[in-house]
Amino acid sequence: MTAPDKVSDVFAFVAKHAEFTTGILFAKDEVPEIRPEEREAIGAVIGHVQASYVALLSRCRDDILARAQGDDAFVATIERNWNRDDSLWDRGRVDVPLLIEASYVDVAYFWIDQESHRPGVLNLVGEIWTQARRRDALRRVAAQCKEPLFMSSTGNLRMLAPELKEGALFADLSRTLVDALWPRLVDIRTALMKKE
Amino acid sequence: MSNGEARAYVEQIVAFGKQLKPAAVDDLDRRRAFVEELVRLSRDLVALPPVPATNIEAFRERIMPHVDSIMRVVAGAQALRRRALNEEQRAAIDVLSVPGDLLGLLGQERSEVAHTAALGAFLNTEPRSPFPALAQACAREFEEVLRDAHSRNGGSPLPALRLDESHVDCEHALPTGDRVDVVLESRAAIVFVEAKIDAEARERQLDDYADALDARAKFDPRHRVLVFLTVRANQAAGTTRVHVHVTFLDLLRAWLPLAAGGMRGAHDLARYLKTIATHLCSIASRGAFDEWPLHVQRRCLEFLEKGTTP
Repeated sequence: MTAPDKVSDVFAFVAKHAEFTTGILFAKDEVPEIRPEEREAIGAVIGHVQASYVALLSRCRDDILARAQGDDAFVATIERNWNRDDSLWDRGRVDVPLLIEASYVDVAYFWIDQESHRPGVLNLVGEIWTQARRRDALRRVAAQCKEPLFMSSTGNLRMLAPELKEGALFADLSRTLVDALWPRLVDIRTALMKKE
Repeated sequence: MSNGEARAYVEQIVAFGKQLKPAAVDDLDRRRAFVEELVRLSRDLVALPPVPATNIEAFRERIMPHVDSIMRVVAGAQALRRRALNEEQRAAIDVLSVPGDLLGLLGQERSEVAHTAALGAFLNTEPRSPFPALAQACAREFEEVLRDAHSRNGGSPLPALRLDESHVDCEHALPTGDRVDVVLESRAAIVFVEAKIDAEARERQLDDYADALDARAKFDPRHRVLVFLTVRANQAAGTTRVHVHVTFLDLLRAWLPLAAGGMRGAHDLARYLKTIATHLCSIASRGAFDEWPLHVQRRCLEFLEKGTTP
C-alpha cells in the first residue's frame, strides 16, 4: 500500500468530527452501542486513517530532521529516539526530543488534537513540552518573541497547521507548521541547554 | 519486506545479539553502544504492522452520512450506563465534576514537586496540619493501598504501619544529598515515597533510598517501607530491593469516597483528585461530567464500574 501524501475525503471527515473520532474511531475499548455493520465499516477504514496519520506526522519529523542538519548533537538525539510507525500510531504522536538528560527529557512533538478556537475539529499540532520545573526557559523565550504565540492550558508552546481539508498536501501542511515552530524550537533548545 | 529480506534481517539481529558477551553486560558504555546499534537496526525495519483490509467505501456509505445519529445513540447509551451506577459511584462522579482542579489552576498539573506537596498536605495528621481528621482517613486508606499492592506482588503481609498517626516531611533531605519526595513517620513505621510523573527513576535511585532506610535500622526498630508511586503501572523501578509499587490511580480509587464525604477539607481533596483524574489518569476532563468528551466519560464509567481503566 502506498503511503498517502494528501488529505483524503475520509481523513478530512475524521478531522472534522473530533468527538466521533476520539470517542469511537480511536476507541481502544469496545463501543457496544454501535451496530455490527457500522463497526465493520469503522474497522475497515482504520488502515487508511492509520496510514494517513503516520505519513503526516512522519513528514513533520522529517522536516524537523532536515532543518537540524548541521547540528550533529541534535540530529543524533533525534535519530537515537526515533519512534517506530507502530509506536507512533499507538501513542498518537511523534516525538522529537530536544534534550535528554538522566532524569528528564524536553521534547517537541506533533499530533492531531482539538484547539479551543476550532472546537470539535482535529488539527495538526506541533508542541514544545518541558517538565514543569524547567518551564521557565520556555516562558522566557515566549515572552521575548515578537510574534504572538499560543501557549496551551498545560503550559506548552503550541502551533497549528491550517485545517486538514480534503486535497491538502501533507508536505504543505508540515512545511507551514514546521516553518512556524522551528525558530522557537531552536531558541528554546538553546535556552534549555544554557540552563544546564 | 520480502521473505528473503526478512530472513536476512533476522539473521543480522541474531548475529548482532551474539556479540554482547556476558562480560560486556556490566560495561555501561558497551551496553549503551549495543542499544544504540539495536535502535539503528530497528529503524531499518520499516514495514508497518499488519493493518486490517481497507474498505473506505463502506465507511463513506455507512458512517459519514449518519455520524450524528451514531453519536446520539452512543451518548444515550452512556447516559443510561451512568444512571445504573450506585450511590457511591455517582458521588464519585460529583467529586470529579468539581469546576477546577487544584494543580491545573496553577499550571502545575504534572509537577512532581507540586504533587508531592499536595500528598504531604493530605497525609499530614499532625494537629496543626490543615485537615488532621481528613488526613487520618487519607493515611488509613493509603496504608490499605500499600497493603493491597504488597500482597498482590506476593510480599509477606505488611504489619500495621499506623500511618493515621504519622507526620509528614516532603522533599526530605538524606545525608547523601538526595531528596525523598515524601517521608511518613509513625510510631510503627517509616515510609519513603518516591513519586514519578514524567521522569524515570535515575540509576540506583531506589537502591540508594533502600540503603538509607536500612542504615536507620541500626538504631530504629520501626518497620521500613519503600514506596514507588507512578502514573504508569508498568514503569520500571530499576531496583531489585523490596519496595511497594502503587499508582496514582490506586490512590484516586482509595480517596474518592473521602472526597465525597463531609469532612473538613473534603472539597480541597476533591480538587486535588480532579487533578489526578484529569491530568494523570485521563478519566476526567474540565467541568462537569456532561461536558467531558465521550471517550473520557466512557473511561470514567469503566473505572467506576470495574476499578480499572481500559
